[in-house]
Amino acid sequence: MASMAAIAVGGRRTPLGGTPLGGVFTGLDAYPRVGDPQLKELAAAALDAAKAAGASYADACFTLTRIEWIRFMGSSGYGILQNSEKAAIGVRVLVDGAWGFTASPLWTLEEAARLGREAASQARTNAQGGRRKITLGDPPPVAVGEWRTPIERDPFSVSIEEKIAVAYAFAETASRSNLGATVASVGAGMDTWFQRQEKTFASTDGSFVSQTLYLAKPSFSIGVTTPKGMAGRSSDILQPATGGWELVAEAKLADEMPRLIEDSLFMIDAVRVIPDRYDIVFDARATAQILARTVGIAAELDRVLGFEANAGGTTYLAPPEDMLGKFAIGPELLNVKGNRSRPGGVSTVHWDDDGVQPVDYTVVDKGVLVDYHTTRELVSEIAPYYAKSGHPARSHGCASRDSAIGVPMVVPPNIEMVPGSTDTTFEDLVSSLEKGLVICAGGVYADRQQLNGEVDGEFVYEVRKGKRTRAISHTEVLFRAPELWKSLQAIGGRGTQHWSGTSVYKGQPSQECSFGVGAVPARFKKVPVTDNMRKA
Amino acid sequence: MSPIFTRPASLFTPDRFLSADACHDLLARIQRLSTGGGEVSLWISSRWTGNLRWARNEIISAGDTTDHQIRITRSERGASAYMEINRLDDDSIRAALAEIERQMRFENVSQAPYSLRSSEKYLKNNLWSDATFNLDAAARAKLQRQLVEPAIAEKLLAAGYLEVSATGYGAVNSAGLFAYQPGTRAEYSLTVRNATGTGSGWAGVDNLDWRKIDPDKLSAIALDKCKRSADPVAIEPGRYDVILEPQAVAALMFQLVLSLQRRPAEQGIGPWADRPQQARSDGPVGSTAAFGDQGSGGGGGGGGNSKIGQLVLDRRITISADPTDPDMPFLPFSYDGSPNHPVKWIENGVLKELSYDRWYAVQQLNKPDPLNNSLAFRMSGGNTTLEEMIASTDRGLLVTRLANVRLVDLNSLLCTGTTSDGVWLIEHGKITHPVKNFRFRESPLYAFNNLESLGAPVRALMWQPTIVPMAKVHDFSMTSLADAV
Repeated sequence: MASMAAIAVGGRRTPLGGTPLGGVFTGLDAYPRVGDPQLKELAAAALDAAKAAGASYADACFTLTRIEWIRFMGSSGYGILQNSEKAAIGVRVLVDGAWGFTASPLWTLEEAARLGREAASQARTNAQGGRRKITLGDPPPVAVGEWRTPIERDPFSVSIEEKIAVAYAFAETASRSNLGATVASVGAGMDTWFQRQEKTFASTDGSFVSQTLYLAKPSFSIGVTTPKGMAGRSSDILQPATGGWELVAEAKLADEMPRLIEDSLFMIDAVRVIPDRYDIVFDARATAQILARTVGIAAELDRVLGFEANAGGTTYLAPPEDMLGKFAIGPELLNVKGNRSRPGGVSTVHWDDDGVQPVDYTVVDKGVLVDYHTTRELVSEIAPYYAKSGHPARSHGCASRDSAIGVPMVVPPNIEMVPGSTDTTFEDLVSSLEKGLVICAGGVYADRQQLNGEVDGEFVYEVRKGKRTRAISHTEVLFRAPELWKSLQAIGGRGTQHWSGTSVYKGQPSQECSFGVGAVPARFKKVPVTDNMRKA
Repeated sequence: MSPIFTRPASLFTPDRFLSADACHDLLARIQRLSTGGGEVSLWISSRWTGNLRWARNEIISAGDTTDHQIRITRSERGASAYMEINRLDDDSIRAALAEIERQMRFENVSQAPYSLRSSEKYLKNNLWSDATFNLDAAARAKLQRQLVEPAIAEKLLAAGYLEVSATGYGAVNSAGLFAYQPGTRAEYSLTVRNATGTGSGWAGVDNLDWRKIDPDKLSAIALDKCKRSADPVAIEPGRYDVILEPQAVAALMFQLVLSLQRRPAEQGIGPWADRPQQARSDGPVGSTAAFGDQGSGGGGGGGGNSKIGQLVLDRRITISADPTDPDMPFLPFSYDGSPNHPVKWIENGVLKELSYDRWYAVQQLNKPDPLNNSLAFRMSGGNTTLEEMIASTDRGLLVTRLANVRLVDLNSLLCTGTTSDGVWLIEHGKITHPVKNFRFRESPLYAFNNLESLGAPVRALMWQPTIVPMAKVHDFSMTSLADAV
């Protein structure tokens, strides 16, 4: 794909004579859009055919997914790395306690009916000899309605000219902001990745809901070059979120550019890390990525039950009977909530792909794991726990899929690390370090149980007696999730929470599942750090 | 236009993916709907998939799906733009063409200094298997019931995946090119775990022909590995003699195959650059996104030297790819219609070729054609058996596979990841006990220069056809424990 993408890379604003065409690509009118009564007819064709073929339950999902990904290289070039619109209808059918699923890009009454019939036939085949009979429990309240991610401007109604102008203006601001370092050149790169997914869900329980969901994964980076080397920092502001073009256009990147440039210049003189155990302060972005893997992904109920054993992996948070209400992931100051309601959250929807309206819930309470991310199908697996704790065994609304071509799976909601009740700031945490490291942003990678992992910090520096001393390169923080969280000493308070998002690939066929994560800066004690280039 | 491939007889009845005729019709309609002149080219990948997935010995999902990837590229006076759609009706195509028109007004006029390919000759091979295409939902479900029986009998938990697919690939354009070929693929993999979660075994493979996959044998391997890997003990990280099973070799060598690019090498970037510049050899610190070419070896010209002609791996190793390889055939053309030729990237340890795209071929190498890297590859092997490798090991490890492999350093191809689904300690020529997984940090360049012996090449489970042997290497770097099972 890299070579395919390269075709468009290097584009410049070179109109081929004449003024640019007016108008924008708002979608293909040949297919019914959200609110069009034809969608109900199509859904009915699929569901009626499934019922006639013996389905005890069926749902039909329609997705119309528009994606545009543009990479801007400074203020001189851009490339369109992805430009697509794809339609899909997926029909999921339960017969005799087994699933069948069919999907196609063709939205016709005949095709919808065929998908319903064939999914039922497939389900009946799959049911033969099966010992586990899938039940969905009591149906959720019948959901009917429409919902749309609150946005100000649809990114697909913004012209390419305007996008170029905004991106180049940011890059030009960056190149002028070299903080008086006359030998340094400052460059900038920006990606704008936008998805608009029109999703309609209908089920034999009577639900019929349509949503228009806007997902953005923008990024912005500064790069500084001096005779001594190159270093770069990425924006804290442009992060994955649900929203429209305003996320980019109104981003106050100019406000953070001086800091990003200053950090980059500082990093050019970085010294190599000396492997050891360090007290570490992770900024909110780095903490969020650790949280995303060790709690967000690790608490997916399908991983807990072994459904992902041959794909994305299992989890250290299993089995449920040994974990729920018993297992202390971390100290009391670790509290984690799940929601699909936070405005702007990557996971935010009004209904999930089971037609369930999601609820907010607590995942980690005072350090103890108390819940998993659930769907209608799987929640019954932990019904005894809920019964014991006096809660109804009701799905939290975590069913999702990247398009109707795939089956719904468990996907983390917006994962939120609850801020401390104090006003502790990131700077307070840093200044509390006698000797240690501060790690800002970067990547977090975990093994197939989200148990052991590593943090490759983007910006790492040493602190002595509360003061920043020098930048450190090639750090790799090694962790074992429960040990890391148990070494948590202090967290940021109100006002330090930062929201972003991440993705996980799971399932067979593989799907990319994005979710939101919000965290606060955190200080950990004596964490092992090694040199990422050092061999055994 | 003259279709170079005709569709197999079995494709005439079910309309699960786009046939050659359908692609032909699609091009004609898109040409008709295009206004304003210029050329049109299409890359078509139209795929039907049938799959079955199970866990804890029970079916958890299944699917029969069809989807298309239709990439429409319009070019005119050197400018080009594209859009991907999966709908074939006139209105959808018109809307996509209008979007492309808007983009073209802002595209670089110097990006495509060459004309569309008009007629090509491709190597002939067969990518089709009726056995794969005909493995329907009922047959898949029946197989599943049979395949989990041994795990049930042993009170173990099997999680498996069986997928068959058929894809129509087309590279067609208004200049007269019409390349189309259908292909099938079958994939089977199984993870068997014990009830206490202390043991896990895996086996899997893919092939275009389902009949060449032995699911019973693979299932038995996964089950055996699960039993033998149970209750592992922790041993010290360090450098070990390591026997890498083929799936582990494939995962590590894939990173090398992925890096076989000429442009960055001649820019002084990456593992294949000769005398890399110091500033670049270290690369940027922190976020590299803003550096573009300098950070990642993207666009721009060459001028430097690559390591072509130099000894880069053990002399017993040859890395090659041939679309007509009977054991791993692959598509003989690329998305732009350029032919995939047989190539020896590394021959007897010597770097022979690096891939380049058409732009680089024309602009820098004065050649008309790109040298494509399909990412399919065959690695030469030897005749040492697993038993002989174990017997010759005084203290070492046997590794089933490597998971989550990622590149840490482009210049040295240093990678990290974890071992998975079965690691055993070998002492005095015998397997003594299972050990806990490790995080490793190793480069294929180092590992396959520290080669002790090679086994017979076999298929591994990768995205593109891959044949690799089992390999025994010394001084493989296990840097820390990663005790997930």
